[in-house]
Amino acid sequence: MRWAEIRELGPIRDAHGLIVLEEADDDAQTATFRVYGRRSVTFDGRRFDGDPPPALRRALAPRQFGRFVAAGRQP
Amino acid sequence: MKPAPFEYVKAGSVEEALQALTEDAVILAGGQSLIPQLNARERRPGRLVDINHAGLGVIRRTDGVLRIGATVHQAALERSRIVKEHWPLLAEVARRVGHVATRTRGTVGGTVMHADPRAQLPIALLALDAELVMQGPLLVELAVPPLPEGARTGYAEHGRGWPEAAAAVVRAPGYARVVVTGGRAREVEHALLDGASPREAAELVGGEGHRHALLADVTRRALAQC
Repeated sequence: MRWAEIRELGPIRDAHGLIVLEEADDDAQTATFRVYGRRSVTFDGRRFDGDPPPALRRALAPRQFGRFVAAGRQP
Repeated sequence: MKPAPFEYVKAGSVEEALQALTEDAVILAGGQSLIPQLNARERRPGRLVDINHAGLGVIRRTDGVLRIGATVHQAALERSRIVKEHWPLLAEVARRVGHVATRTRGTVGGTVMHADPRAQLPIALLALDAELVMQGPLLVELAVPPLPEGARTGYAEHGRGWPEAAAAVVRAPGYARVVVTGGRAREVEHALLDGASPREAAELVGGEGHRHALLADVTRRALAQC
């Protein structure tokens, strides 16, 4: 995924959960997504179960974009 | 009480919101002030335009400028990494707004547009030279420029819940911005730039009697953090 797509990513929702883009730092090219009380979510045709979703991290945060940090897990 | 009848419109974009804003419409963001007013029938709009799904809920930093969407929740501002790193004054003030439940629903834009003179966030935003970005009658975002080079910031308030007096300060070499409950304290700014000590400068804040004492105290405490 390119940064231009990530920074405009709309809510990712399925029957069980929701992930929304909370902040996007264009200067550092990092984004923070908030995961709302979910058991699973389907993104890009794939279903993710549990929390945290490592496959989603990989999908949204390829190395050149830095880290993916679930907002609720920030110190 | 329950609100008087109104039509509810859920706007999926800024354009939809603007189209839905008829003369008797009001905008619903976090609803922390509006809903109690509706319930008490202090306000009786014909239409409620909900902008929570209009794509205005993201905090962004672009070319050094912080852009806070109108429906960004106060809690999001409080936990934002961008804000903590680059605009610590905002993070500090955000955590003092209301309590967790209201910060979770309450929006930064709603606080600004509600314009309660005791609200903490507008004081901090004014100290940071934030600009309101409007599209017609709709606030879409707040743009906060980067802090001046070498800037230090401070914030202090007096009172529980809604503070009776608060002060937000930004100081850098050759730069002073002091905002208290009620507006900018330009005399304090000028005194600081002329070399006055924080204690001397704080005494120049406005107000009389007890109010002056409170404003001077919070100004002094905010300056002491810089």
